[in-house]
Amino acid sequence: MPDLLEKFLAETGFALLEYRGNGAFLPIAGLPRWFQELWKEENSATIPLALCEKSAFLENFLYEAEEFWKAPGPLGCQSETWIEKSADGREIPLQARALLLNGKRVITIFSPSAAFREQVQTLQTARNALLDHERLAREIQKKEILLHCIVHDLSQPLSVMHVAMECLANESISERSKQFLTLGKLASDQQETMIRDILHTFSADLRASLDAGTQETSSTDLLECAQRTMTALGPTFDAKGVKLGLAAAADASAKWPVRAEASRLQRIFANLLENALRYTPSGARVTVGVEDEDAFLKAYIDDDGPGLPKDLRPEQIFGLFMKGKQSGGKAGLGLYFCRITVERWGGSIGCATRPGRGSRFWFRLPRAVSDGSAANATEGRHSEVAEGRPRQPVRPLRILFADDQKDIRTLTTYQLKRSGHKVTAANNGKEALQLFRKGKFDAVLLDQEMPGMTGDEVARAIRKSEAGKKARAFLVSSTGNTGPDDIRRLKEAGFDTVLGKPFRLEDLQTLLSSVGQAAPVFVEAQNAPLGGNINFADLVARVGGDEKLLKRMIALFQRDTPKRIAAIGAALRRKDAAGVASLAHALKGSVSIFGVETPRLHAQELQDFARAGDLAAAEGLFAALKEEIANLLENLRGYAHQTPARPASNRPSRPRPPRKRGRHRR
Amino acid sequence: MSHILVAEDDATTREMISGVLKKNGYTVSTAADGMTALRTLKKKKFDLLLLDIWMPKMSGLGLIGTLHGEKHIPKIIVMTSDKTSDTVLKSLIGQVYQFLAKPVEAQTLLNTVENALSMDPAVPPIEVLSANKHWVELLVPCERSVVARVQSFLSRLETDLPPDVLEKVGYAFRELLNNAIEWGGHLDPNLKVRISYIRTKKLLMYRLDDPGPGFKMEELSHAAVSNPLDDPMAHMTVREQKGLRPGGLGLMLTQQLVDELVYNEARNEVVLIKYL
Repeated sequence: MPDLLEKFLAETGFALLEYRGNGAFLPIAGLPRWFQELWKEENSATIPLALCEKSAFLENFLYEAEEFWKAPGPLGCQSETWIEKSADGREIPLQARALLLNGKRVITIFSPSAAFREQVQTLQTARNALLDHERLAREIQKKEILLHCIVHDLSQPLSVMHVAMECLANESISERSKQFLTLGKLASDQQETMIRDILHTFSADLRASLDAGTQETSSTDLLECAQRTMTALGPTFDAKGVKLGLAAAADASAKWPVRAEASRLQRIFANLLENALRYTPSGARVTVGVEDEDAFLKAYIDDDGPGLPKDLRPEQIFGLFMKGKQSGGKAGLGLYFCRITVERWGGSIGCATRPGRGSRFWFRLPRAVSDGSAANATEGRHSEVAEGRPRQPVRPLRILFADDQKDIRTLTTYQLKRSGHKVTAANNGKEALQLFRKGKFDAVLLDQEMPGMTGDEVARAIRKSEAGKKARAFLVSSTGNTGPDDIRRLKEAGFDTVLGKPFRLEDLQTLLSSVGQAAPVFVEAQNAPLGGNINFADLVARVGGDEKLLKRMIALFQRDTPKRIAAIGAALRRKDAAGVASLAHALKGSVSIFGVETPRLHAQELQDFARAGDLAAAEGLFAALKEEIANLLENLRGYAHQTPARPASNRPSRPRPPRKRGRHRR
Repeated sequence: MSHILVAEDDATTREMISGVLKKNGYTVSTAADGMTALRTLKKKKFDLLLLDIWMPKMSGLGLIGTLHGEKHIPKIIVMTSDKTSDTVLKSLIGQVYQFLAKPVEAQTLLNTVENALSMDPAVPPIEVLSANKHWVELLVPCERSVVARVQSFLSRLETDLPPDVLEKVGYAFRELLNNAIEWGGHLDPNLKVRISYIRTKKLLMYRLDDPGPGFKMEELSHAAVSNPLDDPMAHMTVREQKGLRPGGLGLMLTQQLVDELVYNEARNEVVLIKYL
């Protein structure tokens, strides 16, 4: 029997000890190997072992054990797993258990080696996996942000190019230049669509909603899109000497309705055609065709190039960042987007080397139930350059336009003004809000991403300030993010409509022409702040809201200024440069109080010229300055006469006498 | 009530300034030229002088020079639209309190006047160690309003820098000065920050030397500059916990606004350089 016990203990690694008090233990049977290695104890059944000196954990556990021995419970008394280090540095996990056997206080110590190791390993793996997961999630987030930044930054200069080209198109330019311009516009259109697609694709991927997006697939005519794209790309093909034509079998009189969105469908064609052009030698031919496949309609583009590379499978060609070795430098996104878009519409795309020579790229899209709206849907945006003269808008509007990008501001303002609108430009959201509160506007166009105050914040503030008022401005947001969520958010902020950025002036014009007829009709005389270029409300604020004080100041200004002007004239006549400088300085000081920029700048320049001794220049400037001052005085007189001193808030409703036409000039 | 003298030759401006001040309860006298201003100052004690520079008979600078060494000199606020280093330097030497840009607006005027009048007389004045147009060196008390004052002077020195660059440098300088006064001097007006402004052909340099023991980058958990890459707003939480004013973007922005930003080892001296 004892023999069997010994064997059992040796096999299972249990140490069986009787507690003798005072931290001393007596082995009941032979001690297992780990015990001997760890505590260097001889296998003796007679000498008590002072284990508590060797293991602090065991010493602690003894307190629990003694409790148990005094009053044994049904749950027993077992320690947690602890670890002892052996002399050679190995870690040995141990578990102890207190038992009361035949009235003897017994402790078993057991080394759950294998099971324990496994447990630790599992934990370790789990922790590593968790860390990996976190790291990846962070990485993905970083990339997402990076991508948005890049795309956003890419589209900014593009907006400028767009508007610049549109401005250019409205100048009178030669036919040739117009062709170049058309090319430029086409290219920037493509880039814009690409940027938008990147955003769409990735945001769709992220939202994991890559289902066949049904909301944007109206009925579009496949052949008409092909033809439009062919017309647009005509000059490019001509330039390379490649013939571009429609296959004889394609019936242009029939309808080819597919479930797709026109502008993207045209881009698919454009991508495939450009791809064909790259591989087609000069003098050869590229043919576009369509085929009816019942439930699907198929389009194909045949080229006379070298055919597909033999080492590439078709699906590789439509992969990300794939580009031919000898092709012109493109990022290799084009075909990838063709595939993604076609597949999203429930179609398929492919390519093959044609028997004989060249290759064929094709795609098929589900046929749409023809509803006659095809013509409307294909109203593409790849516009040819419009005729040189600006279009007369139906109704001139007072527009407030805020964009922090200077170039866009300048160009758009120019364009809108040219179209007959009255435009006020703001550099940022805060300024826009201030201007809005001071003036009256029919429409407000706000860039979304502005420093300090974003477009939606301004919109909210505007809507808040309109509360309880009759007039309601038409709010347009221009933003690079036009996902459904973004648009919902912007509409909630109070925008009437959202314009994707970079936007086309025509689109803006169309939107503006829809500005409600109920809005007050804009007439020049009402719009100009009382006194022409002086903002009196602002002025009253600048003197601390004291209109009486402002009137006293105006009276003094009216008294002194003509004298100063006369004195400057006299000083100029007697060639007294120092005198002119000093008088111009004084004039500048008092003019600046009224917040009128031009005369102040001119007075400053006059002072500078005089200081530099350039009296000829000073004289030229003085003539202009005199007229501006006369205007200013006239405007101030108008104000002083018309308004009895009343609180500023009552002022705008007061009737105004007609202004003298001849004087009203800037 | 505080007694203010407005010395300004332009009647419209004079009317505006005195009008705004009177309406806000100040007792105001006016003078249309430097001589009249001087006579008025000799007759009566004033708390504050709002001074135009270009005036007939005696210029504002002339008046400052004449007042130098007088027993009672009111606090002086110089109003000017011009940027001339000469005016700035002479005003600094003449213990002018602050510069005010023309055209003056009611609110700015009132704020500046109120600040000037309410300043604790125990706060020592700005000491001018050098007032040369290439080298301006000041010893300023660690007190909040000194930042606006110093900047009102230094920003009016002629630099030939485009306005946007100037604004950036100005911002960077203001942040550093704020840091020096707040963290280095613990807003104790008896401690001083030494400011040097050096202008050479090729560069514009500011050096700030604060009275504190310096700091360690690791201690700056309340500043955006030490945020971990993946949490760009971490410092805001720290600031909230510590009850600090929102902000703390200064150092980070400053690094990006100027060409060089160099600290000494203890980090209680900093040099800011903009190449021209």
